[in-house]
Amino acid sequence: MSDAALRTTLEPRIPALAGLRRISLRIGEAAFRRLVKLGWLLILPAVTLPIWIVGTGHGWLPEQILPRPQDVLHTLRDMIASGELAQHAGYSLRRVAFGFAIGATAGLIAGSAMGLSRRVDDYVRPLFTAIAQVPALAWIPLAMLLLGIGEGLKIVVIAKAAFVPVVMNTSAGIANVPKAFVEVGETFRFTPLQMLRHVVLPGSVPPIFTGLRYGLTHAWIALVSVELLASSEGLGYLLVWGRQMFWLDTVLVAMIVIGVIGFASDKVLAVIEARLQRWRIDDVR
Amino acid sequence: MIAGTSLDRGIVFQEPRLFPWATVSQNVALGLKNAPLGERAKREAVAAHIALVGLDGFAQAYPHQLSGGMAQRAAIARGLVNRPRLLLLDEPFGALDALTRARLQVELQRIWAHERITMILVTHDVDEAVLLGDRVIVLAPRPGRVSRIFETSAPRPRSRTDDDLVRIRNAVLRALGDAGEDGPEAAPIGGLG
Repeated sequence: MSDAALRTTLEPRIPALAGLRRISLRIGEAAFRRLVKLGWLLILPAVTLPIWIVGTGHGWLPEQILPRPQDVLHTLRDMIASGELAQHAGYSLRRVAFGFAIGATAGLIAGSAMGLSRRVDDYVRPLFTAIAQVPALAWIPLAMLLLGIGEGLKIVVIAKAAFVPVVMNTSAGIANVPKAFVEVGETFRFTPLQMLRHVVLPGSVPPIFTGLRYGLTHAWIALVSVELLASSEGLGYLLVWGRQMFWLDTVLVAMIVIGVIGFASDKVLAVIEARLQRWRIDDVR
Repeated sequence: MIAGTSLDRGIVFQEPRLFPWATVSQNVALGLKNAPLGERAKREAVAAHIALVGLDGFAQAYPHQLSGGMAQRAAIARGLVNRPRLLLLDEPFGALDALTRARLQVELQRIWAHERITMILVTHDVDEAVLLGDRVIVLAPRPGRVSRIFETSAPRPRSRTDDDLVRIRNAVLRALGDAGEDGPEAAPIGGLG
């Protein structure tokens, strides 16, 4: 590089102007990035929706199997207006809420105990793994005999589904808190409770929340399973009933509602997690 | 005989080991969790020690917002906040770049002059050992044992180029050469206050 060229590259630009340009660039960049992200999110719907519209318009598939989008929309509007949808969704939401609350609480307690104590883990882990390997759906026949087909059955099955991933992630998260941090707590003579409050729990927020979010997803899956088998109301019931009647518009409405509620509840957990980890805000976008 | 940890002994590790979820001031305050002090006294002690290590203005910063040198200062504040009788430093500047290390060595002398407590600093850096220590103990490995002890009486604040220090440094280097090639350590002991 020649001397002159070197000088021009090293020469400071007018600072105010450079600063201004930097700021405007940053705003533009952020907006642009957000737009790109939105674009990516919309690619799949943007491809599938036209195919759906054109396909049903040309009658590629019988209407009983794949109804037209506008029919689904129409049914959705009807079911909202009649209050039918709210009623079914209400039943399902209540079941998921209770089941998840019970399963997640039990999972947090059991997972913490297993993560904190080698001995508890040794005793409990084999049984837990065996239980976890049997899917929630497979518990239903036995649970049905014990609990009948009332609300108790649904809540127990959902709780079990939420329990498993919460235990796995909580125990792993707590056991994996860096030893270096625990040693710092030891030099300050932390009591076990102080260690939990100031070192172990803050250090395992991300895995615990991963477990909770998986637990919630599994709760919804279990809900649909149990309502399919033993229910006369709820979104899962709507699915079976709609299929049996070949009202696929009703089936699609139920699927959409389950998707939307699941997405929203996952988002709520994500927001809580982000709030608990405010110290990371600068890193996380 | 020493069994376990005690609030009478502070420790600074090779890496800062600050809790990433707590601010500088919360990190320092955690050191006082079990100290027999009132809330007010604790707050004052935290502020005083943050000021002592030159981190005023960064009390509310999170560790990831600090440079390596600043994080290690915070760790020193945390090690001192209990006013221990002994501060153990395990290669505290080993992970820092040369300039930051030199600056923190000067800082540590200033802090020592202020606190007047015994400090035991383990290091592989002979210059650091000679600059900071009143007594430099050369350890030999396998079995770990004391190989030589050097006394330094050079007045403080010290300068790296001081003739006395250079002479002791050369003697320590020669002793290390005798002790064998495979990683002997020098452990300088800061004087009693």
